[in-house]
Amino acid sequence: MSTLAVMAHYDPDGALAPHAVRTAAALREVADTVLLVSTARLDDEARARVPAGVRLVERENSGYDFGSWKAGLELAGSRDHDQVVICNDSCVGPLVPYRTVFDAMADRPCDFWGMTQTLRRGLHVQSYFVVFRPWVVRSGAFGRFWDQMVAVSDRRQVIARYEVGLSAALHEAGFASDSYFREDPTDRRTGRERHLWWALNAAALRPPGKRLAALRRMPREPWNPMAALADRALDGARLPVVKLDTLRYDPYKLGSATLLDRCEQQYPEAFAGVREHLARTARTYAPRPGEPGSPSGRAALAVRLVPGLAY
Amino acid sequence: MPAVVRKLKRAVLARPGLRGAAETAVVARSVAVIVRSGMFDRAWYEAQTGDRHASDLAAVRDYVTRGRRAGLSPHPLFEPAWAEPKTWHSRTLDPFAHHLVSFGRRTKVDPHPLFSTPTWIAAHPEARRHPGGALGHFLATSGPDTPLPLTPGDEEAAAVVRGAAADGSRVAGSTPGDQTGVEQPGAAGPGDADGDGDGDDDAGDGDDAGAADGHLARPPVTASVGHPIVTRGSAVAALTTAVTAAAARRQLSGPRQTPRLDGEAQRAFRASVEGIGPSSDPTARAAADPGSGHTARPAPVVSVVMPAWNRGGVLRRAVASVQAQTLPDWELLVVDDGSVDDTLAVLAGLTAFDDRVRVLTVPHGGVSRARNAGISAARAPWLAFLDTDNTWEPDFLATMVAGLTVRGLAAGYAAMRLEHGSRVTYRGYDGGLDALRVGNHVDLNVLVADTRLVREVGGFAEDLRRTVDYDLVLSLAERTTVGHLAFVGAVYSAGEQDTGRISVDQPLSWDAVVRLRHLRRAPGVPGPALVRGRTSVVLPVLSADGRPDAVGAVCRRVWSLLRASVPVETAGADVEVVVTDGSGSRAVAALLASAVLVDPRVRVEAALGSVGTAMAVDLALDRVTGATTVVLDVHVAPERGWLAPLTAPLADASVVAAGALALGVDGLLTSAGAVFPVGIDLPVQLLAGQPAGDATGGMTDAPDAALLDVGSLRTPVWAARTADLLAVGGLDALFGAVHGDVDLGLRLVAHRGGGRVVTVPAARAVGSPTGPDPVQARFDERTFRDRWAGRLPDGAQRAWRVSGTELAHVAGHVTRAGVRALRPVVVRPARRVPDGPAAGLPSLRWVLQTAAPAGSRRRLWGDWHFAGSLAGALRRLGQDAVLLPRDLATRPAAAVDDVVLTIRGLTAREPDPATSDLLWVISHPDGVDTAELARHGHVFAASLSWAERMTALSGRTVEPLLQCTDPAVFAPPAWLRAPDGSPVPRERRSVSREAVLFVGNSRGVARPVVEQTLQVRPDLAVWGGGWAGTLPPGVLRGGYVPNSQLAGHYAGAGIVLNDHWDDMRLNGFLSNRLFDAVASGARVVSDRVAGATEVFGGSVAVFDTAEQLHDLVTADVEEVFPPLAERLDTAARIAAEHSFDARARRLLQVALADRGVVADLAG
Repeated sequence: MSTLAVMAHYDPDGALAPHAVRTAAALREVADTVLLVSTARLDDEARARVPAGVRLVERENSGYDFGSWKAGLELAGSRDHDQVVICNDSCVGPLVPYRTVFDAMADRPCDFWGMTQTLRRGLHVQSYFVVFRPWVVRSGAFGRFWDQMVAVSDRRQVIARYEVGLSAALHEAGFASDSYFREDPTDRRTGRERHLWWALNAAALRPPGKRLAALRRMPREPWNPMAALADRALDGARLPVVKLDTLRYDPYKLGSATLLDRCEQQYPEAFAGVREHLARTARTYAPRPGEPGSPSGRAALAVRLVPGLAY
Repeated sequence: MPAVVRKLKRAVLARPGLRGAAETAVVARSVAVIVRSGMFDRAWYEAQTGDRHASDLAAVRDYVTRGRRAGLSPHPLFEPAWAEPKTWHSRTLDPFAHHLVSFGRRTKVDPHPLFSTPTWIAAHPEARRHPGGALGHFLATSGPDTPLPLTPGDEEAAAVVRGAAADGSRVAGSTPGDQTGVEQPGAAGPGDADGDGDGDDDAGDGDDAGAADGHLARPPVTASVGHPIVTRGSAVAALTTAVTAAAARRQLSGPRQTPRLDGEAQRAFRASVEGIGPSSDPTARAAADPGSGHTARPAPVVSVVMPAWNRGGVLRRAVASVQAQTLPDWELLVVDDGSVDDTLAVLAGLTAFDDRVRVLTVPHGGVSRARNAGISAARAPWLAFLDTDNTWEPDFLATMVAGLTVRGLAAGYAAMRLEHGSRVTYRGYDGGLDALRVGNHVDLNVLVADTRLVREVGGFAEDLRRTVDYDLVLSLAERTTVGHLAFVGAVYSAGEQDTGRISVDQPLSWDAVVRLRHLRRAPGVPGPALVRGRTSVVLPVLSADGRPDAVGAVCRRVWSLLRASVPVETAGADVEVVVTDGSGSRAVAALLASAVLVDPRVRVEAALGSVGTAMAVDLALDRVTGATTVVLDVHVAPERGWLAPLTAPLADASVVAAGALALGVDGLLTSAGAVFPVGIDLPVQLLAGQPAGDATGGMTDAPDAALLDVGSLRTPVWAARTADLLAVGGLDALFGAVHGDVDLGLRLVAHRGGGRVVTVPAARAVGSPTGPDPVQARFDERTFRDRWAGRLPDGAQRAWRVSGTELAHVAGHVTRAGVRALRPVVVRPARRVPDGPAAGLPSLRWVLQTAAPAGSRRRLWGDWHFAGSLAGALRRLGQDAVLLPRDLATRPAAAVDDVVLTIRGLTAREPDPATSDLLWVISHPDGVDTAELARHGHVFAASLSWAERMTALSGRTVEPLLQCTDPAVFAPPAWLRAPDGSPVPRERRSVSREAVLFVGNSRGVARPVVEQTLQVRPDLAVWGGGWAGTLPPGVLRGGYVPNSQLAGHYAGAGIVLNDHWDDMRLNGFLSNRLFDAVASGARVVSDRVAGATEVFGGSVAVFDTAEQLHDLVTADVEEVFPPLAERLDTAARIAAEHSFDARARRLLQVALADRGVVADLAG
């Protein structure tokens, strides 16, 4: 079975960060063809760091990851491959070999899968890593999704239309999804509590007129496992990736600095250079108003006030 | 009840508490009245309900509180729907109680079609005072062998039947076509003929005694045959049998869904299968496919067949419910029916992880073919079916297989839970084959059957587009017991349906198609031998809703057809009547059983469940024995004289079907057959909206009108050869609302490889069949197009030609019921008269607006015949002329009319401003005022004096235009001129030369001229109707004189008597009997009327007083009247000056002058 992996990359400085190099190299374990599609203005040093066996594709910076994946799929001819993997450089990992992950998924009856899926905005496989099985790759729904995709410049739009939309289109066609990381009851309880904690604080920060509505709505929303359960990476790498945004924004105010410390201790190789990468790119990752992770004094207190919830 | 009391009562009853109290009081009173009468028949009541009651009182209470609302009857000889159709409301007295307490006031109400109250009272006047009414008296004084008092009409009809059966000959005088002519033209309809008052005779059948007696003699029925004997005992026995069977049929029609399942049955079933694991012994049943078993798994016990067409998005849930079965040894055969979505990709994903799932791919060919492919590929001994939108409970397969094994069944089904939002019902009806014939109660998704059995019955029918599961279940049930296993096997959420499902894409009428397949005689099985020369009249009686008043209406219609229309038509002929009772009504079943008692030629076949026209007709077709079949929709009333003309064209081998003209109750044509204008793939009703005369080339009653060649049938009454009908399979039940008859006609033609479908203008059916269901009608339209587009016969324009109009185009519109319909729009090109006295002049289209009612009663109106003769005269002048009855406000085809001539009867008519508008007052001058005269373009009056007076009064010219005669009919007979040399014709034998003759009906009132003449001339001879019992013996010579013989009677009589209505006499309106008699050469004695002497000279002698009349009728006629030669001269003058032709010439002159054409039409 031939597998194609398309990895989307972006770096504000035109660099190829160490974690991205490791991810690309790791893909070689499971994919016959690995495309690294970068929208960064790579310098020669960065180009030189592309691992052997990985084909670098450079393109203009538009359409976010989905634009890159579409370009890569077209370039490599997705229909010429049995299995397709799309992923990006937004995570540190895998913390276990991809082979382990793929072997574990081999007996799981599903049509496409990822590392995590969430119920936020409807059940979807989170798009930083998705694997499509052969019958999906050849399906009409998969082809139509990429054919009809156009470049969208707004990040939220991209999430709504494409990240959620990809899973929705495939679900609607009848395909079933699954994820490598499976929440056990403890995860679910923890996820719910952490989300609730964040939701109450975030709602309280809303303008007075919108506060009550936010208080009603936000606690009921599903949690994002990449934030709420990011520390499951430390639990034998049950969650074998750590999202850089989680480390950068600490969206649920659970103490991401602690998380980074522990990750570096537990996975020194995988996390080598991550702290530097975060520091170097910090200036380009502005706070996202209205989204989880907006800095606020009161929310920052949370870690101290309710230590049981922290990472 | 005065209005104020009614209002007060309504206000009081609007208060809930008071209403309850009122109802309680009504119940108590009803019970008391019925119990006191002692007439309640408990055994009979229980036969209808199937229940048992502790006492008579309990049964009466049950009847009053519940039974009467269900239309049940308290006694075999009391039918609530028949006797008291208006007494059904919960706050009025029970019908039976009402009948008993009101009997003293209403001694003409029959409690039952087999019991005539007037007949019984006539024989037993003391019954009038019996507390139980006539029926109570009868019951008190009769025994089981006492004959029932039948209504005279039934006795007569039965006599006809018996006479026919006895000697096989036609009963004299019953030929319908001869009946016109007794009523004197111009003696316009009397006031009481307006309506029949009670509303029960809506069918408008001309045989209705109430309407007929006043104006026209009934043909005498040969009196040699006795009454049919229907004894009380035999009637009660037959009726009890009928209602018991009806109750059993109703039982089968019970609800298929219930709010809960029988818990006890479920527990018992669960206990019976406890511990029985089918998978513990998978080899107990041999595998259906010996080639199976090369997989590692044990051979499957159940093959699950799941068809999928573009269902990729939803099928996963259904598959998951199979995978979740506690019985592991199954195979799932998903048959992809040529999907174009990702169904196959989704299935690939499913098969990748479960090798029990097998995917078959077939080219798209429908659900049946897909399932059949699955059945062929099945390897397990049991077959189950699951659709993509259903899910099983996890123990479904295990429990089914265990249950079937324990009970030794080859097929069975579980219950199903149906979730409609928050409402939950269960489909768990436990019924056998008969219940299945009523309707399907087995859901395919919970059916498990022996694979071999399913293969034996051929799997699913691939030509069906819906209800294929029902078809399979019926096929299985016909071979084996399809048992109900009492547990919930599946859950169905109604909200999950989507619009792509078959159920919304295909009509419900497939259900009827399937039922018919299984209810009809199997193909290849010979039916009863067809008897040459026998006509089978098929009456489909369809579902009536539960309200007794609606049932009552159905009963009356059917009874009228069975007891009046059909027997009169079929006297002497070899006829059987096959009724399919699809009404589901107890009352209708009892009525039909009654009909069988009085006419053994009637056969009733009760159908199970809801039945449409096609199903009812086709079921009857399996049973008919006549070589000709006539189908009569019971919603219409055929006009007397319909049957023989309808079947006659079939003697011509080229005619494959004949239809009757269909008329609405307003007298306009609704259809003269179906035609297919070029470019429209749907039938258009020929001449729809046009006057009936347009179908007969303008002739009024046209017994000889030419057949119309049409594209196909479109009529509620039609005839065809039985063998042809059987060969094409009868009506196609797929047409559930419209086009069924059209389709049949086309298939008959196709079957014969060509042939004619004709419409018979002499056969007419009046009435409106119920409006079709709009949703079904759209499906029917589609079905019709799919089947016939591009293959329809042309000839629409040719067919239209009979009317003198042309089809301009067809306009689509939507009826009030929401049914799409095609309305023909006609034009009439300008024409000139080619020859004859009016050669070269414009040929106009005349509409003669008469005062006669629509329907067959028009024939009882002199106006109709008068207008008919005038239309004939206009046609001789090259004009088109049609008649209209009075009931019409507006009509669609009016735009083609050039002249509207209103022949004024009882009521005024608003003129039509777009046409030449003529008014001719020939009767009832008292009702005409000056304002009415001013509204019309030209006014004529059949009186010299009245015309003069009204001209003076109104200031507008009223032109005298007297009544007239038809010289072709009324002329001196040849023998009158040469009395010694000619053989004496037959008609002279009936009236001696010296006799005084009066021809006319009694009109229900005394006619002084007759009474006064009888005082001095007891030898007076009277012909006419309604005289029975009012004249001394021997005076009434007959009820009816054919028109063709009337001149002979007049001329042969010594004196012909004549009289006028008072307002006619006082206003100088000369009766047309005067014209007819004088034109025949007769001597006439008449009451004095202005103008008589001027017009008729000495041929008419007038009297003012009874003494003068006495003198005239006792004097020597030769002294009173001029000699023959002078009378013949007068006759010739009348024929020349006062003929319909003369009147037509004058009218045409006026109409042409309106158009600026001066015409010299003299002579």
